[in-house]
Amino acid sequence: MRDLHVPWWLAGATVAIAITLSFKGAYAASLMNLVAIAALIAASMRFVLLIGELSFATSAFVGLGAYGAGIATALFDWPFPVALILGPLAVIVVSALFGYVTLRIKGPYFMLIGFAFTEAVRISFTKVNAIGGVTGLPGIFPPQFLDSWMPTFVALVVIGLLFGLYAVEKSDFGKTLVAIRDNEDIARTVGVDVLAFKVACFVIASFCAGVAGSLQAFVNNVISPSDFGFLVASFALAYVKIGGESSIFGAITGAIFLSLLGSYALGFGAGEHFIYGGAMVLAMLLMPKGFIGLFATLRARYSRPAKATPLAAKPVAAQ
Amino acid sequence: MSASTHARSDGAPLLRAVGLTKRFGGLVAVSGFDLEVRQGEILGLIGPNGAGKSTTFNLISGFIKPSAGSLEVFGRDCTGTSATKISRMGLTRTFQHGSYMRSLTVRDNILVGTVHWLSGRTARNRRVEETAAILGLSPYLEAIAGTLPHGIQRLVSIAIAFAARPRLLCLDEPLTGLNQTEVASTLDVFQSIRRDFGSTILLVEHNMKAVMAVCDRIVVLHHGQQLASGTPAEVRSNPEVIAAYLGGRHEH
Repeated sequence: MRDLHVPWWLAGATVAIAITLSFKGAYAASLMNLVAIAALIAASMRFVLLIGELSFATSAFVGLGAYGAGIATALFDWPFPVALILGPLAVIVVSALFGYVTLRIKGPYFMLIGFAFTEAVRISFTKVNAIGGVTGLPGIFPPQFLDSWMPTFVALVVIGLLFGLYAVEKSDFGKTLVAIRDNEDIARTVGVDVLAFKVACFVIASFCAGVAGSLQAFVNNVISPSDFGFLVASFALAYVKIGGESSIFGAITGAIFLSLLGSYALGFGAGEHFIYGGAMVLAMLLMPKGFIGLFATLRARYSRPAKATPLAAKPVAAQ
Repeated sequence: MSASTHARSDGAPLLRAVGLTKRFGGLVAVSGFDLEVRQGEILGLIGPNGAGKSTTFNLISGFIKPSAGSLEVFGRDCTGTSATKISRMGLTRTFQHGSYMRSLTVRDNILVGTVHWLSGRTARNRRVEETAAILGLSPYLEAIAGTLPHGIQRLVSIAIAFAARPRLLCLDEPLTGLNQTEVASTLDVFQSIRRDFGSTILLVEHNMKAVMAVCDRIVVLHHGQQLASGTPAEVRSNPEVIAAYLGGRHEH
């Protein structure tokens, strides 16, 4: 527990909860939910990147999570906790099967299979009339008592899972995942079952994506297949890249920044995508290691003033 | 095939390969190669570039499957057994190039070698620190492996494989790029690994002086076949070996 920075997490959680409690109103609530869910999807995406793979199947798992909540609530009227966890549980099974078959291949091939899977799942949603087909599934409401507390509830669930991902990453299991990314042959030579580790990593990440989808269904009250195209994973990837891949805080920072910017850009109508895309290009050019990298550079610069002195002294010497 | 005169008949061999053959398309990398590794020895596998040493290593560690022949590890038939299974039986290895995890600290590199074998942080940490101390890596534990000098990275790769406390440790050119002092201290490490932990060591190496100094027995591989085997003195004076190494006339 010592290297998990628990006080910082508690501080961050307190601030996040305080924000959800102090901003009321439908627009603020929708923004806060949007940010929290985006952060969870980004962290899920980044977790698979620990083994060096890019999972476009993330979109499909967000979708399965959402449809689990939708079917349980709108079609069967099951209790909220059951509905909330139904999709993510299904995701565990599906992602374990999908991972077991596909994680034997790597890189662009794995990415393409994830992409195809996401499209196949999305199209399947449109073909089933019982779950609303192309138009989707309305009427996914959280229990009444949660109505005004939804952003706080979402934030709590998301922060809990983010901390869980962080703790797993810092464990020996997490370090072995990074070892597999760096050099899976070495892991194999010392008895590590590489495929089992990869599948476990994939299932954990996909479960979080499933919870994100489930929360999204309850927050938006209506879901449709088009919400779960490959763009969900693409945006998550942008969050991770812009925030900084080296740490989960990068994924979180990127998600907060870009999803807020995206909402702001909505006000520009057709120009929305230019602002969004422009910000991404600028971020890539100016901070190749994302916000986290920029932060680390700044910290290194200001905590070591000795290094800056010779430069500052130059003009003085010239005089 | 010359018979070994240096037989220390102490039970069954740890590893026995009979007629091991690997074809890559039309190329025969290893052709009917016989190898026996005996309990407690340091065995050197030498041969000119392209002789099939790395292919042999890949065959015995399960990274590639033989086209023909059989492989027995610790008395069990392992022909076609996967790399993970063979390593779990107690055979670990290093690779010739980049045999470590570049973005992890030295501590975490060695940790990976313990994950399958020990449970609990305390036991693993103790093993990591013990291993680092044996290899002289203690001062580098918190450094990122990718940023370290080449010689240290070589030691890290040995440390990962040794952290599993294998019965048979297979090292692919562990001395390449080391300076004389580092070579000497690494050879000492091999001796103490054998003495204190009872590990047997199989070594592929180009540094002849070091191989002659540290190995009990040497097997010479040439054009994918065993050219000679015996004690360092026997191998050194073998005319066929001299011919192969000096590029002289040979009948293959």
